[in-house]
Amino acid sequence: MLAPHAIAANADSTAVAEHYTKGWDPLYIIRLNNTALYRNAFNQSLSQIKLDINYNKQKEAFILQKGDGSFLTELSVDSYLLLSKNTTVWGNASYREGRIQHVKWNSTADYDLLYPYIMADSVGGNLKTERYQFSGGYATLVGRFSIGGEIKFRAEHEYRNIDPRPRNIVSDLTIRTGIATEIKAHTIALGLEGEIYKQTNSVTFYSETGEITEYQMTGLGTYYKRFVGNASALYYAGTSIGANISWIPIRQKGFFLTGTVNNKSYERKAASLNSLPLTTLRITNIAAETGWLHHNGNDWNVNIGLKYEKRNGEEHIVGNSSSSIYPIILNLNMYDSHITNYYVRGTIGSSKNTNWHISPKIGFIDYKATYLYPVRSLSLSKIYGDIELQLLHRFGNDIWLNWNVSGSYYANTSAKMTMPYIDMDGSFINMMDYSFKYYKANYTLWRTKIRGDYHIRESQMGLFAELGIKGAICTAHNNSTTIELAAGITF
Amino acid sequence: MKKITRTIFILLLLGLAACNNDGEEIFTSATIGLEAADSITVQKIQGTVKVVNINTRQTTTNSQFDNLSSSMKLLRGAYQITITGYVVYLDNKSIQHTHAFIAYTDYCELKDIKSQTKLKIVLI
Repeated sequence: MLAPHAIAANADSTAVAEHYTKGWDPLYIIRLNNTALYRNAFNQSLSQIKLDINYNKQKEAFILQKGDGSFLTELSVDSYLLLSKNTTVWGNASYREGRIQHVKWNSTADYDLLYPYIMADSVGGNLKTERYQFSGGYATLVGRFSIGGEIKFRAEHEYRNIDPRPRNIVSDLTIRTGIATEIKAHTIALGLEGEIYKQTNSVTFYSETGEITEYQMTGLGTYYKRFVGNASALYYAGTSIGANISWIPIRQKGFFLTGTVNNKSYERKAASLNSLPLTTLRITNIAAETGWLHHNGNDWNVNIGLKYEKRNGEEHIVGNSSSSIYPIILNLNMYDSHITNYYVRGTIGSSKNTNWHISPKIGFIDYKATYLYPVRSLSLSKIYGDIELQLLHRFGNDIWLNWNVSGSYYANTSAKMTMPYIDMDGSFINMMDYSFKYYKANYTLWRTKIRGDYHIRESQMGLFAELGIKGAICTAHNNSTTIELAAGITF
Repeated sequence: MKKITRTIFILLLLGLAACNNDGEEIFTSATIGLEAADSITVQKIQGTVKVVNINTRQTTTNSQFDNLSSSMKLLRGAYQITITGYVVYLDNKSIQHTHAFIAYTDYCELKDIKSQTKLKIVLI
């Protein structure tokens, strides 16, 4: 893998085929996660300008905090350039804007990252969103070592122009480095990454008829009662540090192993209370995958994997204020959740004339969340099966069609929720019962996407268009449809 | 190969070890005592202790006294405490009286695994 690779002419039609048919390949996923390995993820350079429209509509929200639909438009530029036989650079710049429909019980951006420590109200509404994202990476061969680095920056803005009016501004900087070298028939790679995260999160009201209560949520429908209504200007400050290690075969044939560990910490502070820290969320992610692969045109691989996430929520217990300065008298770990995903996946296919791959996968997901006092808990497990097909066909010299189709079924095997209903307000009971209805449902998911590329003769440019449709149906009588349309230029 | 596999497992174990301590005790065994003025000798207390957690607003009450103190299991934190009831006491001439009393504090930290505090009896 560290050997010099061929530098093909920029963006001929085979470059497109190489860059957009790798989703089935576990080695490609490993290379994406380590900058030193990403140096030779592809044999050909390719850049792309893409305009993407994504529309999603749910009958009702599967997750109240994330809304029941969205309409997003994104313009992005991606580039992967082989500068020499030893050096590669890559980069991305994108701007996305749009709206998210009917968000409830969430006034904070980045819900997936920060839950359950968010600010929330029971009214919600539509949100406007815009996001700028830039990244750039460089990797080169120095002696026997491939070394690489990447910087990624995201700025995001979410807001609403009617009461309640959240205005959330996120800035998120991630730096990754990696080093790789060959040992006999394998490449060993190590990677490190760090992140600095900040979000300012405020909710204001213009109406004279009164304000809606904003809650500082603390998990499973609990909230910090002392600061109800008087801490609606927050900021989140976070850091994360992660490491990964991979052991992959040089000749695309043999045993592979990869492992990733990541620790994140996000502190929620009340800006209006002299930056009083209210809570700290700590997230630990561990992922490991191992298997055997044989990619020589007639491709197959078998692998087993594990993904684990633990969330630990610490509440800062606040003492008496003096001149608006609040002391922290102790910290209590009140919230705790664990999610584990075990899976076995295999692929068979061909990378010859007609490139096709089928990847079946079965797995088991186990989830448990606990709030210690008054005790609340939610647990569930699901068994799932998934199958993906990727098919690439060339028509003449200039036209490629790449078709992906997948289907999954998630069957619930157990679900239990314990709540102190007698001490809960009606709106919180409704919110938790609503969420649990969708936690314990069975889901059928399907997706199909087709991309057509046309290479303009005697040029280094091409045109492409994409159409994707995704659907989800669940036993709680809800469904979701997503339509993705994209078009652009490759060069 | 063996060394590399061992390194990977050590890294994963370190990651697991970095997970936070789950076993931390969140409760305190709190003893809330009463103290009277030097001029009287308390013989018996009957009353109710009401503690309100300043942060969670949760209220806990207890009417059991052991001499001049009441014990309860509480979430560690900061509390407002009110004790009301009747006290039977001897004055400095050894004459017995029965009086209503209140003992109150608007802020008290009960944050250790075992914590205690004392409130002054105010006859009313």
